[in-house]
Amino acid sequence: MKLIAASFVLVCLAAPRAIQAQTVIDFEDLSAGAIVNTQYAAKGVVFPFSAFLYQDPHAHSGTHALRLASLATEFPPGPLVIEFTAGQRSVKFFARVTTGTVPVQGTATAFNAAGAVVATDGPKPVQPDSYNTSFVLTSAQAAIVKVELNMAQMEFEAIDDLTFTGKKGTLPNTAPVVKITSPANGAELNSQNALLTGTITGASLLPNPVATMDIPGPPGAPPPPFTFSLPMTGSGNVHNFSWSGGTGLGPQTLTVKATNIAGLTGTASVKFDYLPQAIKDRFQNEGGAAKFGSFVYGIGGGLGCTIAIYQQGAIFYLNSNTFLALGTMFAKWQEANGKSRSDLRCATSEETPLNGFAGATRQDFQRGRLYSSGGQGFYVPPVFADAIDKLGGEVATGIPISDPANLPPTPVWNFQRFQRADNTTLASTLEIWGSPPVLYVQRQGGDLTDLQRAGLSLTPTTATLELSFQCSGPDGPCSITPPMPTEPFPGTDAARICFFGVYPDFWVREWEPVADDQTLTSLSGFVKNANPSPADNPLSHTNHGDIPFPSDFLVDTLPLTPFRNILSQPNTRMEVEYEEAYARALEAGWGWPIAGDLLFVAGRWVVDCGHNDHANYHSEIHPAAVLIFSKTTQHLGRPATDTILWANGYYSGAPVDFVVEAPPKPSPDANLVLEKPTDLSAALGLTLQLSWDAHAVKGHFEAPRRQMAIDSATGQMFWQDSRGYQGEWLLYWDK
Amino acid sequence: MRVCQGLGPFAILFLLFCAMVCAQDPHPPKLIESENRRDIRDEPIFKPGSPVTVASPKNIPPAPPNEEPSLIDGVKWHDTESISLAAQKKKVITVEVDSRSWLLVKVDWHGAGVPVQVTLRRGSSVIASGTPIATGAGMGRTSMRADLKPGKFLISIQNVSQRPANLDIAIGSVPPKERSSQ
Repeated sequence: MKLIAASFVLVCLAAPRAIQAQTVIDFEDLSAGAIVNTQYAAKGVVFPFSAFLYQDPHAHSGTHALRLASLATEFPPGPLVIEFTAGQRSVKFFARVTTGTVPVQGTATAFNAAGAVVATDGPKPVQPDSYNTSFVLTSAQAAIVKVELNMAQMEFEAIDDLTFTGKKGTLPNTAPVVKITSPANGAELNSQNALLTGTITGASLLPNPVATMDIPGPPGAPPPPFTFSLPMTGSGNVHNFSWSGGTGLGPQTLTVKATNIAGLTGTASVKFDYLPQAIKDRFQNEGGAAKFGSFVYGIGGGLGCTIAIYQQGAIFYLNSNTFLALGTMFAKWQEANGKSRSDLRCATSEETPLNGFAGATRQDFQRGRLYSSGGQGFYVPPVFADAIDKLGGEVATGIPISDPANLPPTPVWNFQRFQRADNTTLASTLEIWGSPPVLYVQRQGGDLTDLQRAGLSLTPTTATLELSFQCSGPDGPCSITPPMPTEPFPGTDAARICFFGVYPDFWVREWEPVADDQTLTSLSGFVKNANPSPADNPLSHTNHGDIPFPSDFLVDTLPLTPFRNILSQPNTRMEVEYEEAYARALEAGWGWPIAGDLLFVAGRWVVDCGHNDHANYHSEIHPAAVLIFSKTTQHLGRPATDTILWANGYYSGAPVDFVVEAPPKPSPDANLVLEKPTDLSAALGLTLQLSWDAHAVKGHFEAPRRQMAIDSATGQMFWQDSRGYQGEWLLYWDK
Repeated sequence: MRVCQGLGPFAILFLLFCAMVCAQDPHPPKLIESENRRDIRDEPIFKPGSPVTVASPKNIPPAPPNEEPSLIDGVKWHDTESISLAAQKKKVITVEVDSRSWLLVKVDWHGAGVPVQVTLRRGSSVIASGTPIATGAGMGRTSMRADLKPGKFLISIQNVSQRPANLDIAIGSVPPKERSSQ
């Protein structure tokens, strides 16, 4: 500032015939909204840091006044500085504050060319709604070359009717000359942090020349140029500028513009290019422009994610690694880029083929995952990608057949459908639903491991297994942990339960309970086989045929992972048994469990002490008191969970809770529908309570407790009448 | 309240927002109820005192081949039959064993007002009596076990009620020494 003031003095000395008179500026001659700096230079005054001309209903005269800056400016850049092209004897103006509602103390200070204070006025209150406060500064030697208006607190102060008496200096008539010495024109930078240096030659320069960096942006939405002030040093007519800071990515143009007090400007430009060397190397190694096309724009930089986007692909650079996106992946990445819920940022892996899905690929990004299948790309949000990875991968869940949908403020926060590998007509659904949000994973056959252990294949009739996890927000993260595996209990424990004997040893019954005879134990599993027993013991059965006395119906079941601890080592399958004669009404009306059904059973958990093949005692549910078996079927042209429920004469009345899970939800706005028989026609001597879950129906059987009679000689539990449930439920989605 | 512990202020604000905005599901589930295919109230099997009368469906899968000669190794079945026994009537079954054996007796009765009595005699001596258990209205089982020395025994099954009874009888014996772990 002192440099400029000194220049003005020199100009003044060189122009002894400058006219000395009173000048009044009421700011009515410029349009509202104008940035004012050198417009009044011919009248002898400039505003070196610019000010904002605006329409003010409280103006001291007319309708215009001059404010420190636009109110759009984040912070007041005060003080308001007024400079004169020659020394003044007096300076007067009226002031107000424009944002507050109470007066603010203001002080006007006048400086001479040497920077010394020659006069002050204030502090005095400056009003918020009028220009009643005037500041007057005088100098007998006509030495005032600069005036600053300082406020006691941050304010957008304004002035009107600026009046000054003194000479007017001569203005320079040639524009400044700008020369950029760094970076060199055409340079390829090896760092994104560039050093900008150069010189500006000329008289009476305004402070802070402006630099503008034009950085390539996305087509159709180029970013505004990056503009900043350059600090300037030096004296006389030659000044230097120097700046160090970050550049954009790709080919850029840097322009420096300097202005003198006459409003004459000089500019200079250089072009330079910057991309991380790793990106440039990858570009060349992968085939260069022939493969990628020309550079379009870049994103990021520095130590974080850096992305170079070309016409036909993108190169990502993160943590010293580079990755490519081309073809469908690139197109989908571009589609998601910049969108609040799907901005993927950098790739963190290469595009990878997926086993089991012909032609399908996947690629991970910082904020999600993309899949490519059949020429289409699909976005999967991070929370769903995390679920896929932790719950068996794509083979278990499938690959997306749509982008995620969401329907806030309904409870559906994220919803996406997937297609299974084993059977391309089968879908699975991932959804974050409700408040607090819960992630639901709906898959026919679950992650398929239990199904495969049973030697079964995923088919359209396989029932749905659902997992759910609490989430901390509608987009996750969610506490995803796979079901905890359990292990069968030791065979020695089973032998101990049988008192190390084999029925009909007098000290052991044919069935000995693991807990006690009256306790109901539940398990879920897939039915491996189901058929009548070929032979039974007539002493321990009520309804049997002739030798070899067949009586029971056997449901050979593979317990789901969480229920494997019901098995005794080394067994992998659980027999669920009941006397077939009691089930004939069920069989005649609705059938019986078949291979592939999802079975829920509650019954007496026993060890079969009548067999110890190779010293192997096995556990059973014998008899089953509540038997529920499900499959997926077609109902009204849509998938439905078809469930047969049978509570029987072995039911003691102890509470039994079960869940019937719907097929994978087809759309975020689908409604759950349950068709069931009336309780009056289906339930006898027990109560059924229903409650709805997001994708399932929860059932609860209960009845007055009754002691189940047990044959002390064999351990047989006897059927009792007047209690049961039989019926079929259909659970499906309606839109 | 414990749910809120450890949640950030934004999470709590989110929950409050949801409590106001998201509490009502705009897609409520629907329940459709109809008469059952088979009314459970009409099923004999669930009625007091009703025996099994319905036959197995014809398409029920066949039982697999029986790979075990007997569930009880070495058992000899002396009587396995279903009979009707008039009120106050008795049925006597002779059992002869030529080596020490365990006797296993089951008599399921149906229709009798009181338990059927089972006794084991050798000559005129009563060696053992059956233990009854009621399993329903007019139904039950009388079981008996005994350790027999070689010889001839009489098992007496008596319907002591004033009503006829249907009996399912199973009487077997198994030499303890011949039994081995299967």
